[in-house]
Amino acid sequence: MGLFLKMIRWAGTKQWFGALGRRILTPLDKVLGRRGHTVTSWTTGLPVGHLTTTGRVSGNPRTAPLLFVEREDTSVAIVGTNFGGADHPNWASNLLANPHARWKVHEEIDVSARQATDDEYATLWPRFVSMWPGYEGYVSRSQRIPLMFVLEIT
Amino acid sequence: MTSYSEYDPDHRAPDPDADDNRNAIIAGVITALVSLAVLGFFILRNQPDPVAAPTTTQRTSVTTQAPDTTGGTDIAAGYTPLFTSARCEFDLITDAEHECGWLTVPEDRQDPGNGREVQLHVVRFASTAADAPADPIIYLDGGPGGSTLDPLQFSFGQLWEPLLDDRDLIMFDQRGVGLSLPSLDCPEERKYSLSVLDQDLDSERAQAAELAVISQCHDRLVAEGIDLAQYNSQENAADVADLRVALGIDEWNLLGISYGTRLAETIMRDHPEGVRSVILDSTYTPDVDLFAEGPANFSRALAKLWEGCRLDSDCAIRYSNLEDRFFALVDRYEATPTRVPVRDFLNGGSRDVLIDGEWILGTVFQGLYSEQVIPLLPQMIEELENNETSTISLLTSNVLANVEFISVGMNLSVQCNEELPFTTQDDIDEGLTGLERLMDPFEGEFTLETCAAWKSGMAAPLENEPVSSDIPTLVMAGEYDPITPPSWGANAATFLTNSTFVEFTGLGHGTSIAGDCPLSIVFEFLADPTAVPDLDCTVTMAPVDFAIPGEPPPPIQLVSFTEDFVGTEISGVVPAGWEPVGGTAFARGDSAIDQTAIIFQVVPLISPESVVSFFATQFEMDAEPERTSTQESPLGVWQVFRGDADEFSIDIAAIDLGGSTAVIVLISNPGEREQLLGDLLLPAIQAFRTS
Repeated sequence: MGLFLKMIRWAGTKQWFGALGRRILTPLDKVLGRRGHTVTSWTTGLPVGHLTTTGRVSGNPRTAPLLFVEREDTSVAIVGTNFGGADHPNWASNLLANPHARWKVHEEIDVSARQATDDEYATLWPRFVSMWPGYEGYVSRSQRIPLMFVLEIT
Repeated sequence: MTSYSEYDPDHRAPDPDADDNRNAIIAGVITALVSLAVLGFFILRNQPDPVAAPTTTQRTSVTTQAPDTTGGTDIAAGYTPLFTSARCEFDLITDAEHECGWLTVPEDRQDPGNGREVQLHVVRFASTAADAPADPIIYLDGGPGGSTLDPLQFSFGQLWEPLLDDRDLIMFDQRGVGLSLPSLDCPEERKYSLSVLDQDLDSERAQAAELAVISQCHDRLVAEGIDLAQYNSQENAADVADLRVALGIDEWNLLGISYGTRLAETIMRDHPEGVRSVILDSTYTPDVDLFAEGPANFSRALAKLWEGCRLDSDCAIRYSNLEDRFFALVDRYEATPTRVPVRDFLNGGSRDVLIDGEWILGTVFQGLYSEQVIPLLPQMIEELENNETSTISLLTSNVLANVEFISVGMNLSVQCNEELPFTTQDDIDEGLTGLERLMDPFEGEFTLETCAAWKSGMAAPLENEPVSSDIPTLVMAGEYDPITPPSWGANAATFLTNSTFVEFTGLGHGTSIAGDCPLSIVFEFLADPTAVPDLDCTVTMAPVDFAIPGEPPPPIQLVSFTEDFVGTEISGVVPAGWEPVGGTAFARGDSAIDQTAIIFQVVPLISPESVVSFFATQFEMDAEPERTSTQESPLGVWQVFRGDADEFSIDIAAIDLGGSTAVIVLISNPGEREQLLGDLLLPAIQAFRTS
């Protein structure tokens, strides 16, 4: 009655490993963020945390790796550029629907998210751009103002 | 006729702060509309940013209703399938143009006025071909209950994007599955399963606990008002037929893999209108008996594995007498299980998993699905004999990553409705006779018991009959497939008067997108489904090349490269034959689990020490890397750090370039580390340049 047998029963007539691509997911992929030829390796070496939100449609936990800026208090700021995509990223929409989330850099903690105030935005945005100049390009590509959130420990 | 109000799938909250770039959005929308019209998209991106869209204002999304009734009986049946464009609810970063939306249909087509609806999340990817044909492919996923859309972030580039070379691709989550609503997911069951991974449970107690959480899920779904008898292949097929009509598509091509082939055959039988052609890949027809025939199918695939190794001279020498050794191993671990740490790729961290004989059998069963894993199976068996668990740990972590992408409630609703009613305990006992050492990976007896508790109706006898059709069909099968053997495909083809059957050497379950030869056959078939495609490439497909660890790697020959790294040009040297795996990272890829790689980056405004620290976090390194040496190069002095993560050595060279840090990371096996330091990392440091 192991999980493996359950998976055979339940996902038996599904292309196995298909969910994750034909190849096997390996620790290296995690670092490279290699997901189906998608290049997110630019995050390597930069401060990345993992934000787990609650999917506003599915109700399931959703984890996304995000660059962040540490603030002077214990809070951190994150910004939803979605790589310059047309829409806000799903994690941002999830936070708008439910601000309670979990945040992990070394240890996972419970956090509450709120949108940055105008003053905070003005202060923090240059810090994001200085950390990764590509942010400016994302904004011009997406033609939208990215949502910025402050995560506070609850 | 019932009419449907527009559905707001994400129940989003108004966002008063995000309105200030509306003009820019509108300008973008106009651009999008023009380009979409050119591409012939079915979804119009005319919606302001959904996150920012106040729910109090009128929504501007366009709905598409059935333009005609050629697709079936929908209007006669008293409802109109409705399609609404909307944002994509799954994460995917891709340059491929795509648009999303929702199909709304009644939960119960016999009683469309009862107020219950299902909403299917749908995406259409645009072909990259300049002259793509008007008829798209629609992909039908397996399981039953397998999510299509959420895992796209992992699978799209490798599996699906190649299809866009030919024509548009439509994908969706079937009813009860993934992002579609309502969800028949059973998180209670998943939580329970993950909580007992490290426990050596008594079988009877484990089954009782399992049945309890499944019953809990069943009762919860029923209490929510869900009619489980409406979640099966017949309704799935009607959904697909409605989707075609709602999208205004005259003709399309079905691509079904695994359970998706049963769905495809149900569409061919019940809703043949508008189906130009069908690809059945790894065929699971209504008439077969998955649970009773399962042990024989597994046994056949195992025999292929033993034979494949015997016919490969290197494998035969290294892994002699593999079959006997394997079953001795299963017995040994069944008597003395061991706990192994397994990484959780999706959520981080790791958890202990109890590896016993049953788990090893299950791993080999699942491994036979994938041509990436089959070559590793003899090696994994030998490792386990020597109490080494790195390969089985890695394969197990992949299983854990898949657990989230199956809707157990949908799986049970389908199978308890249309598969198990046609299977008796006697059938299961008979199927296992003589094959008891396979321990019934399908747990047929327990599944019968589960279905007694999972009430999702009982299908008509028709759902256990082969499907006859004259729609042009390509039937594909893999030699090593442990669950839907090639004979099932060949048998299905005998009822399909315009069909071609093809079996692929060395492949497992899911062949159509497993390389150049199958894909070329798919494209040729789609170009003219009435003609027999050229199957010549199948003759020259290589048999499985089994992995032999410890073979000395070939000598490294360095070649220069120049790559753009997010606006910064990086040049240097890499070994010939190492493949780029994302930006300026190159991997050796000797086998599917070879981690050997080198990464080049330039990181702005962060010190070398900080970069090294961030790497340590991201690799989950066992300790902070220690500085081992300095190296002079034309750029200045590099600091070289060394650390370990799990079974890998990680060497990091970093240099402050005045405002940014250049970094080179070498990931290697400890046994090869010294050689790769001298042959690769040091020359790479010398050759590194940036714009």
